[in-house]
Amino acid sequence: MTRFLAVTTTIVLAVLTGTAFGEETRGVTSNEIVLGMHTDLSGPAATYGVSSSNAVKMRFDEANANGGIHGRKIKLIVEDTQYQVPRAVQAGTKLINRDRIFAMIAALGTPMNNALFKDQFEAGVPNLFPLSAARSMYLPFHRLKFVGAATYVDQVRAGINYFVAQKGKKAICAMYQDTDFGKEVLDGAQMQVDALKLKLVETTTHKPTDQDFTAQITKLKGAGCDLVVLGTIVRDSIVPYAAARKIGWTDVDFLGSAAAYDLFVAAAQGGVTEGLYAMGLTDMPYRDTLGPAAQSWFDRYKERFKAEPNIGAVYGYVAADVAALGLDRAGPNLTLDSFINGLESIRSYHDIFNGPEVNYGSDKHQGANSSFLAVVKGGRWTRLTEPLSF
Amino acid sequence: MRFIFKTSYHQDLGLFQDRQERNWYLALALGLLLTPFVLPAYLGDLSLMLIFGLCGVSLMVLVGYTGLVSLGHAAFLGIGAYTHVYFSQDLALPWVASVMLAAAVTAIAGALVGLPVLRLSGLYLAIATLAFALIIQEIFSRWDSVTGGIKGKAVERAVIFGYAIHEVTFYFLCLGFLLAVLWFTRNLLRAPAGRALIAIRDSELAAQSMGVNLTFYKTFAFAYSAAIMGFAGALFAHEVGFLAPDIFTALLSIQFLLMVVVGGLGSLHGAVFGAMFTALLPVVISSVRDSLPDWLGWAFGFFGTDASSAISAAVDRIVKQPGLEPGILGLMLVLFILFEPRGIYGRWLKIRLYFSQFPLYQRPTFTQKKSYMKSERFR
Repeated sequence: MTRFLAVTTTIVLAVLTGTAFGEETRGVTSNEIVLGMHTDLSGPAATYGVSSSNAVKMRFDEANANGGIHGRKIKLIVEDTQYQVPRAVQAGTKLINRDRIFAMIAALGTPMNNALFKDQFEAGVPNLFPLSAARSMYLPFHRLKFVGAATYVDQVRAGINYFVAQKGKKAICAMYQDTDFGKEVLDGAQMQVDALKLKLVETTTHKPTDQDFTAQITKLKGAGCDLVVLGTIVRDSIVPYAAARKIGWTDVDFLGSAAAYDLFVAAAQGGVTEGLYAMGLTDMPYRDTLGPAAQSWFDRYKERFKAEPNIGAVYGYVAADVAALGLDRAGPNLTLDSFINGLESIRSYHDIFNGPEVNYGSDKHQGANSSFLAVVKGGRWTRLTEPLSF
Repeated sequence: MRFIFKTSYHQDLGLFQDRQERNWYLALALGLLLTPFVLPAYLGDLSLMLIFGLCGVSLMVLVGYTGLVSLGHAAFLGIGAYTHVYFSQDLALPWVASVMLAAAVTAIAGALVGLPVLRLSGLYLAIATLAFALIIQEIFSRWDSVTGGIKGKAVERAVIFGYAIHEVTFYFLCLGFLLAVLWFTRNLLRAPAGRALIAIRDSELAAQSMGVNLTFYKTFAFAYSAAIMGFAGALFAHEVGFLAPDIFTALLSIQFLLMVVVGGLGSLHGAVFGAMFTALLPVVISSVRDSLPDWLGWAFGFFGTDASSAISAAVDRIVKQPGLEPGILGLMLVLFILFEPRGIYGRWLKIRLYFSQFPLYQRPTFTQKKSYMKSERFR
């Protein structure tokens, strides 16, 4: 009887613990890697969410068509958050708990990412290259947080540095939207003027939904600004810039972050954004100005999704490309540790869109912090400089 | 058909009609107690459902029982969430005290809103509460020292009497709160206060002539509703784990309102059904979306592997179309409002009656017979 009990207990224990020991790494089997992405497919940021998720999907499908990574196919599960935090939490817990994903990739939105970090990191799911350029995406340092490119703060600091050093700007002002994003841009501007021993002459705020910016422009003009840093996105970049030029305020430059570096801003009707500056992270996907590899990517994207890729698609592609590289470097024995080591071993990576050189390290989880200056010329973004630092 | 034979007045006082009903609820309670062990992967969604249930009860008291509409309940949820996090994290108060204080603060906010809006009703009330919600949202994003401003604030896990709450315990915590609030509200609604609220809903004039103090009871309804929202907010803060002003938007308020309408106005069951609908439908849609292509591929495997994989790929493309999910959700809402204005609970009552009266069921049993007093017709 005792022996029977002992045997049974051993079997039961073996079965119970087997689930813990037998399964090596969450989301990884001998022939599959499950990755998750929560993004906005039907809310206000859907233009970026749809295109970036398409691009991620396409990059992984192409990897799969070539036999996968070390024989494993990548399965990507995309969940819609509608740019709402509660939905993001629901979507994220589904990916983490039910789909048991190996890693989260290119998740969109600062508050959505922040809301999921705790559960995600407790479950040991790394957060790869979110579509958010807030500092909280890689600071404070966490072993599972990886970002690809310069944050808004980095971009704005590099831009101001350039304008002050190269163009002799002195009266720096900021016009930013009253959101977490706008605040990041303001913080960046403040940090850089402090570093340059200057002062922010004037700041104005607005709501993302505002239509009229006359008051802000009048205030900035009255303060005698010669460089206005814009914490704005699409419409709130176009309208105030056009308003300033219309009232004949020409001895001033406007500098946006990468959020303003968008196809629509350059293509604004009537060419009202001619001469607007913004910091860019990669080339804008205009087919004729891209390199051959990017051109071929452009065609494949258009063929598959029946639409031209936008800058969101570029970010999605780069995110998936670096993730694939990390998976490759992790070697055939893919675990969380080997993957983190794989990502941290990436040096001098160059994407196909002329982005800055990307380097990771065991204490460096931000791939690059430089961005280049671009200007609207003839309805298109034209790159002016090499990647700038500060 | 079943007749309840009443033999004592105590039967009228009981929470349940008869033993059978009580047993059904006991079975339900048992099911809810076992759920976390049966469906561990769905715990997060179930907790959210229970929290939405609290929001539903809160709004049901106001909309379904008092007849006052509110498009500002997301703001009360926010006040509850922020005050709880402020008290428990910044001031390091014990969890229970912090939740109680959060509910109290929210109730005061509710009473304050209740006062000026007493003169308003219908559309004007909706606009006033919407404006209130926008103001509160603005305060959330400006009052940096308390709310963390637009950058938001991370919420730590709850620790109650030194016991750290994790997923399973959090589910039971939410369940406990919902059951307590349901029990209390159910009792309240059959007490004089609840009867007064229902009287106000049916006819303010008649209620007033019967001696119901409109000012007091309308304010009370707002405060009570807000207090429940305060509890919900405190739990919601832990569920979401991160508070930012753009969580508590007008969209969320509208979602709450739709929730009680879909569930069925004028019943506590409706509040819970509505919460199940709102919190679980996305879960159902996303799991069907993930597995439908494989199922169909398997079903069509009969026609050969090529046909099977072609069908699976085609279906995959359709169901992964962006925006499909809100589309389905919206469609279901429209269908509900068109074909079942009494909501899920109304439909359930009809189905139940249909079977219990089987060949004798008559449709007109449920036709609405509300007659207006002349003075209230255009309100």
